[in-house]
Order: sequence, then C-alpha cells, then structure tokens
Amino acid sequence: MTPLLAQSRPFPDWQWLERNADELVSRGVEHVQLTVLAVAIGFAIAFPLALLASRRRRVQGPVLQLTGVLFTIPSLALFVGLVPLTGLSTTSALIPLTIYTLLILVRNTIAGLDSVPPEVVESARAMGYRDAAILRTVELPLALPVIMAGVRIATVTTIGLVTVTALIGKGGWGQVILRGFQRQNLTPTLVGFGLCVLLAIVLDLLLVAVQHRLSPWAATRR
Amino acid sequence: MSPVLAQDSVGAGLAGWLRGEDFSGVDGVPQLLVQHLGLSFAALGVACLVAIPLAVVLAHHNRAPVLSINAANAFRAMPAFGLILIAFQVGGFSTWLLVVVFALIGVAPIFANTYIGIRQVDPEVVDAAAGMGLTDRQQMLQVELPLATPVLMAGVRTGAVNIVATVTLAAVVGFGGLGLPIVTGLARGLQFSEIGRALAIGGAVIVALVSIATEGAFGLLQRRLVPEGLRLRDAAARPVDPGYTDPAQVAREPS
Repeated sequence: MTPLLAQSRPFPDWQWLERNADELVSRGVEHVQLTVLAVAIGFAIAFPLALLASRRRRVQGPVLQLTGVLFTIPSLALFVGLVPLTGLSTTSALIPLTIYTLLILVRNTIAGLDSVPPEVVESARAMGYRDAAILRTVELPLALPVIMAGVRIATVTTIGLVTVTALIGKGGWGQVILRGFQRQNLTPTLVGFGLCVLLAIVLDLLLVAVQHRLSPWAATRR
Repeated sequence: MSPVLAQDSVGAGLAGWLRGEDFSGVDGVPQLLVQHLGLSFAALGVACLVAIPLAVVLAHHNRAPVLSINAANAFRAMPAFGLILIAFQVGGFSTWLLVVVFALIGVAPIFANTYIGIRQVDPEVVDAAAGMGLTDRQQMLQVELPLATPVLMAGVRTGAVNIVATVTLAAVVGFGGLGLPIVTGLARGLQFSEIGRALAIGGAVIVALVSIATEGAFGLLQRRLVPEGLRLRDAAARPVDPGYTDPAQVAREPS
C-alpha cells in the first residue's frame, strides 16, 4: 500500500486549505450540530430515566444493563444497522449518537443524585419543602458537579463518534478526514483530526464555565 | 430472476458465509473473527504491558496524579477514526502499526483504573506491610496490586471492549476483521444492493455480538481474578450492591 512517500500532494498542502476553507466551516457547523443535538436529546431521555432509577432501586439494574449493552455495540454496526430503516440521513447518524450518550448520562446522573446526603434532604423536608422543590433547590444543585461531569464526557465522546458517521455520508470533519485518506493527502486528514480535538477541548472548557456559572458557591471553595 | 429467487440465493450465500465460505469477495466469518480477535488481543496485551506497570509504579510513589487523571480525558478527545487513518497515511499498511494504534485506545482506561485502584488501597495496610519489612517491590506486587484488582480489571475490561469495538474500523484501511463485511456492504450501496445489505447488516450483528461477548467474558474474568479475601470482605460490607460507580472510574467510551 501507500506510505507517506506516495502522498498525492505535498504536506502541508496550503492550496487545499485555501480552496476548502468554506467547506471546513460548513462541516464544522454540521459537526457541532450533530454533537449538541445528540447530547441534548440524550440528556432529555437520560434525566427522567436516572431520576426514576434513583427513586426506584428496582428499576436501576435493568436501566443500567440496557444502556450498557447498547453502549457496547460498535458505532459502525449501529450506524449501518439503521441505514436500511432511515436511509443515509441525519437521523441514521443522530439515533446511535444519542444512544451512546445515554449510558454516560444515566450513570452519572444517578451517581450525582445518590451523592446528595440524605440528612440534607430530610432537613429540607422537615422545613416543609415539597418533593419538586427539594429536587429543584436541594438535590439538583448538589448533584450538579457529577451530572456535569457526565455531560462533559458525553460531549467529548460524541465529537469523536461523529467522525465515524462519515462512512454513512455525514460526519462533519470526519468527512474531511475520510477524503484526505481516500485521496492520499495528509493535510485534510490532519486538519480534520486537529479540529476535532480542538472542538472537544473548547466545548469541554465551555461546559466547565457553565458549571461554574450554575454553582457560584463552589467557586469560592476552589 | 424473480425477487424471491434472488433473495434465496443471497440467503444461501449468507448461510455459506456464516459457515466459513467466501461470500461476494469477503472471507468467511471464522477467518474474519480470527483476524479481528487476533489484532484485538495483541493490542490489549501491549496496552496492559505498558499501562499496568507504569500506573502501579507511579501510583505507589504518588507521582503525577494530575497527569494520570487527565490522560484518559485527553485520549477521549482524539477520535479513533482519525487516528487509524492518520497512522495508515503516515506509516502505510502494517499490522504492527495497527497493533500500536489500537493499544493506544486501550492504554487510557487501563492506566487510569490501575492508578485509581492502587491509590484507593488503604494507606494503613501499606504502612503495615512496610512495617513488617516488605520492600517497595513486595508492597506493590503482594499488597497493592491484589487489593487494586477489582478496579484494575474493570479498566482492562473497558479497554478490551473499546479495542474489540474499534478494530471494526480497521477494515477501512484494508485490514480484514469483522468490519470488512460492513465496509464492503457500504461500498456496494446499502439501499440498492441486496448483497451489500446482507453483508453490512450481517457484519453489524456479528460484530455487536462479539463486543457484547467480550464484555461478558471479561466480566467473568474480573470476578475470577478478584482475591477471595476481597470478595468475602465486600460481601460482608455491602449486602446490597448500591449501584454507585465513581465517575472517575467510568472513563469508558464507545467506539
């Protein structure tokens, strides 16, 4: 096969960068959209599941096992399995991406809710707080760091998985990586890879900032 | 040819493929499975040989705690798909290179879990061992390592499943394995070619089952390798599994 010596274009290929700057932007938008949608939908499904599982112990085992088995399936298998049903569409990419966020989000949300000291909840109840108020004003703020850790892991993981959807015609910057490979041009491959890593770092820092904004009391302790 | 006949011939071909015959230019399932698991276990072996000793020594001397926690996060940010394609473009097709790339995918969870496992060992136990005159090496191998086994093996299991799942992508750069029928099916066009669909869906189902089986097998291995004393202690301390997992230990990614 063809090692570095046989690249079709010199490296770094400035001409390619110049010609494809627009596409890098539009692929980036696609990458961010898929990532944010998958994590947001995943959280909308995972949160009620985790709440139920932390309230009803018996539900917890089955919920974790089901999401765990889904999590184990290689991404390519899940993407390909959906194509006959939903075609080479954004849906075929989005459903598996969402499924993969579930285990991380469910597990961390349960762990977060369980980490709230029971005596704090009891005190709130004794002060006359109702269940909904306890959840909103006591449990969620205390569980926030662990829940947000889950959101961060899910986001960074999803950014990597989006690249695989290049094989079913989506993929954001994964499409750029794949094209560099197909044309034996190292520049697109490395640029696409680098942008993915950069996006992961930026979104991760953004989520840390969101977490600090949501829990200002924790900032003083740091 | 009537559609029914066409379906029958695909069905017969598919059945032969499962038994090990060449089907539409793709090796039989047994050959692909051997390739897939061969590459996976070579990579897992390299990952363990690198990550476990390094983590044990670093954790014993309490070196680089920040680095070890961040290592898993940094690795997670690198898409495996890109890593494989870059390795191929830079180094060409070489099985050894693939072993190294997939080992990298397993190193992060194994290293992080080994480190956390060792750090979680009760310091009084290690002090007692030192007081009894055990050398550093003996403390590591006879005290810390056995006590860290549950967490360590959880990391090995995570690494194994990550590797087995990700090796599927190696088919994109021309390595066989169970990803080959999927990639071949995709190239033929899933929506138009019946054989393409049969290959891709068949491959997807098989690779999913193999991943789940890997998870199960390493779960059993994990239970077997945990020292009996620890098992008894845990059974006494926690009659009911609280189902709580330290988020630091769940550094696990689908691939």
